Order: sequence, then C-alpha cells, then structure tokens
Amino acid sequence: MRQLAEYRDLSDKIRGAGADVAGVVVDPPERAEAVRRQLGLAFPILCDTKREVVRAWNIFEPEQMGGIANPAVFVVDRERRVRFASIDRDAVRVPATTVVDFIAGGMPAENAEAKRRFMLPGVGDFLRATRNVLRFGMKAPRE
Amino acid sequence: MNDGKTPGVGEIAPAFELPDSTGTPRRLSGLVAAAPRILIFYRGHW
Repeated sequence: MRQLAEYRDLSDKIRGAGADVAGVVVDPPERAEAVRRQLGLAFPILCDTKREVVRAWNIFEPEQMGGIANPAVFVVDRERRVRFASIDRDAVRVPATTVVDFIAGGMPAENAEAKRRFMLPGVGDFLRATRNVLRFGMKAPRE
Repeated sequence: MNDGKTPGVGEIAPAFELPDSTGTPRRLSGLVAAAPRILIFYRGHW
C-alpha cells in the first residue's frame, strides 16, 4: 500500500512526464475501492479477482495466501509495448521515483529494467525487516 | 498455476479487460490510449 501512496505523492511529476498510473490487485472491488478512498488515489485500481491477468503475465503466487500477485511494476506505452519492467520481491521494490524518472527521461531502453542494486536489500531494508519480525513475528505484516 | 509469460521490455503486453474498483470495465488498450501507463501490481490484502 505504501507503494501506491508513493505514486500518489508523485502525481504531479507523473502528469508532467505525460504518463498515467493504475494499480492491479487480486482483491475484490469493495476492498480495492476502500484502499483507493483511504489513500485518496486519483488513479484506478483494476481488480483481477479471477487471477486471470496475473496468471497470463506469470506473476501469480498460488502458494501464498490463497494466491496473490507478485509485486511488479510495468510501464506500457501507447502501442501496448512494455517499456519498463520490474518484478519485485517482497522486501525490496523498485522505487516510484525510479519509474517516474525513467518516463520523464524519455524511457531510454538502457534503463528499461530495474537495476540489480534495487533488488538487493540494503541495510535499511534489513533493519526494517528485523524490526518487523520483532514486532509481528515471522508472519509478514500487512502492507 | 501461471500459464503465461511475463511480458519483457520491448514486447507487446497481453491485452486484458478487468473491472476497476468501481465496477467499470477497463481495457489495457484503453488505459494506454492517451499516454503511457504505469501498472503497479501490488499484493493487496493478506
């Protein structure tokens, strides 16, 4: 959820770069709408409750929590071509600023994949993960 | 199970139509018709 708020906070910059945003989640519409209202999101959230799109895009995790989407960010251009892709693990996600800067910079092909350094948990992520384990136990907290 | 392949950079994203949180059907082609679209797949409720 924090990730959605990051894109909300960058909305001016995203609009300035000539792009739009949409979230995709396997939650039912009522829950997605509650999140959208709670966070005050101006962009739509699409509800893949049948898991059809996350399966077709191969980012479905059937083993977890009854089947959820792997966190991932794509930039799709007007020809429906993928210009940027980042399949993220739980602890570390591609920063919203990286995605927006990519678009603002003209979507250069050499920056089209999230750099490996974004995938490697840094000290801050390690500390945050440790703190979460202490607070919540080994079960991951809600976003 | 996953039955597809993650679209890579440079590839055409598979078309889809999904309802948004208000129930309005949304097609990927419509979502990107006016401008590039950042698609954020997030985990949602655990």
